[in-house]
Amino acid sequence: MQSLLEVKDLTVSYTTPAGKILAVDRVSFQLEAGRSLGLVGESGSGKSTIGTAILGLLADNARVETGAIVFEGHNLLEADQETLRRLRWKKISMIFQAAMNALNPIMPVGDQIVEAIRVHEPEVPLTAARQRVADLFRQVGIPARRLRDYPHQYSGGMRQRAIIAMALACNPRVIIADEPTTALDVIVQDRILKTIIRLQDRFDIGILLISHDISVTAEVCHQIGVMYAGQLVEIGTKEEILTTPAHPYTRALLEAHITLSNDRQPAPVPGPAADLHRLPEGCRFHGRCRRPDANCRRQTPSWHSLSATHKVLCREAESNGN
Amino acid sequence: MSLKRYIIRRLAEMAIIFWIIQTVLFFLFHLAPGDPLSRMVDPGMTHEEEMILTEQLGLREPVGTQYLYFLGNFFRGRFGISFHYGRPVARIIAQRLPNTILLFTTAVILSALAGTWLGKLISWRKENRTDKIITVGALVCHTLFLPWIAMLMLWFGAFKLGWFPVTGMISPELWILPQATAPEKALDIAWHMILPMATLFLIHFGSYLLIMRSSMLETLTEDYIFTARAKGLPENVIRDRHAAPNARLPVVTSVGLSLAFSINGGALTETVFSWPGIGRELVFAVSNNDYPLALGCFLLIAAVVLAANLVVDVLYGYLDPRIRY
Repeated sequence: MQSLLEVKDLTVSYTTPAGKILAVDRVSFQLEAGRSLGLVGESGSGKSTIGTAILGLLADNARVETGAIVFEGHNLLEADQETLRRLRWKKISMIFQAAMNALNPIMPVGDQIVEAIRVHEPEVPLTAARQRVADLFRQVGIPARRLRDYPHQYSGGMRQRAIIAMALACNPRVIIADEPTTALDVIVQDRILKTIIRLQDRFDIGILLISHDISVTAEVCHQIGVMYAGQLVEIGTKEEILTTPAHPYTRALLEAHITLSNDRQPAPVPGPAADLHRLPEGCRFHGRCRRPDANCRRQTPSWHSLSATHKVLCREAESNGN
Repeated sequence: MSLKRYIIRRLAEMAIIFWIIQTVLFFLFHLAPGDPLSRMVDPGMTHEEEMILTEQLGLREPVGTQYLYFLGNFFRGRFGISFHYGRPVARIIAQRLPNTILLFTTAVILSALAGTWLGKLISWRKENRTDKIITVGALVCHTLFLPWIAMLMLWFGAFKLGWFPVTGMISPELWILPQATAPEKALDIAWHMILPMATLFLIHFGSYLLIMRSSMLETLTEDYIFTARAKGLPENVIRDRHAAPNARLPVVTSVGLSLAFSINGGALTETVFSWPGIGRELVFAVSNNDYPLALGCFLLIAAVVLAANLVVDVLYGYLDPRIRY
């Protein structure tokens, strides 16, 4: 069966004053309808760049070097701007981080959503579009009378809900959620995530959730991909990643997150984050790895399958697997 | 309502600031060199006549008393009598002000509309050739020396081409005719206005264009512009409905203050084109030690600038919903 969205061998570079860097380096994954994939990693690991590349909205200094992004059988990287524009939001929408200035500060929130509907479905009359937005607001838990309010009159959690309502406005097939709960307190975060899960079930949407917080992806996603220094280093089902993590970085991330269930102290991932301008030889993680051997410094690791759904980019798995 | 309270508070502040300006102006005029009498006194006058004149003008009293008279008169709506014209200052200003407003306010509004519109358009093609040419052109306009460009306009438009009149606001030979109709008179003023207006337009247009362009470029880096793109909005909708309304906010301040200063801004332009406005009157009053007239002009400018500030602040509240008073 064909996937809803398939990213194949995607490589994206940025030209910076200090030279060219590969923010995303040969990343591949698939997303099925009604399923969700979480991409987790530190800042600078390339996870957000993948999201913007899918929408065709990379920054001016970014360039797709290789790869394909196949959505419903079409390679989006070969589509022209007008085709992409029509596809955005109608088919693939995005949930932004509400702490950012993602809503226009001088336009009522409701109008910003109505606008998206009217652009993609010009045949929908204004009153019907407004009615749809009011329904969406009810779905995400905002009173419909707040439609006329401006973003600054909303609380952080409400803004996030409004952004989710906006992402659903045109019944998209895929939603890219980039740090949807960052900067919200834990209780609000939990409610927002539950809203996302509920709506995904109802509308059969594929969700690509991008987060630095592995516990957020664990709560929402069926599948988790771990990214390090532009590479996908491990991907598997949620259960596989949480119970049998294979990459040392995944293990470190799991140990770093805070939990209330036991007395374990959170342990930060040791060492400085990878510098994309000066990537080490061999495995990119070897400087921070707890058990590197001499070969890790010299040889680039290759993919190893641990199950039909679980694979890892690490030499250690090679020795364990055999 | 809080806006009402805000305006009342601001008006009270403005009254105090205005009083300070009045006081400073009054004493500055007394410090200024030169004696207003020397302009009026006829060499043939006797000493006694001179004394009577001094007495009449109130120049014999101590400065403090003069200041109190000045304030007292001001509150009774008496702004003094021009030494030179021998007529009330208020009447002279009332006569000149409409001419200035007609020319300058029109020029500022037109150049603001044109500048922001073109600034908005070219910001969307940053780095291409049209943008570069227009930006450099705007910079040149912005830095032009006003009297020079005014002279150039006169030389070219009035002398070389002979299309436009050299000076003044009206053609007396037309206005003196009893059969001259209102449209004819209006057309005559418009014809006289073209050269000074073109000069002012050139000077202001460039700066509005540059402000709008840089404000647009700043706005384009905002997250909500990315959101608008992600929503699949067409580029012109992103530009006109999301970027421009936000980018316009700083331009409003600039235009508001220019409008205020345009009341006096014309000293040079009005002098070059002999436009019978406030600016030319001010230059005349200062160089002739006509204290009451000069004071009247300065106070008018102060009042207009203060009022324009308030208007801009209130207007901001309507343009930007985040601002509440």
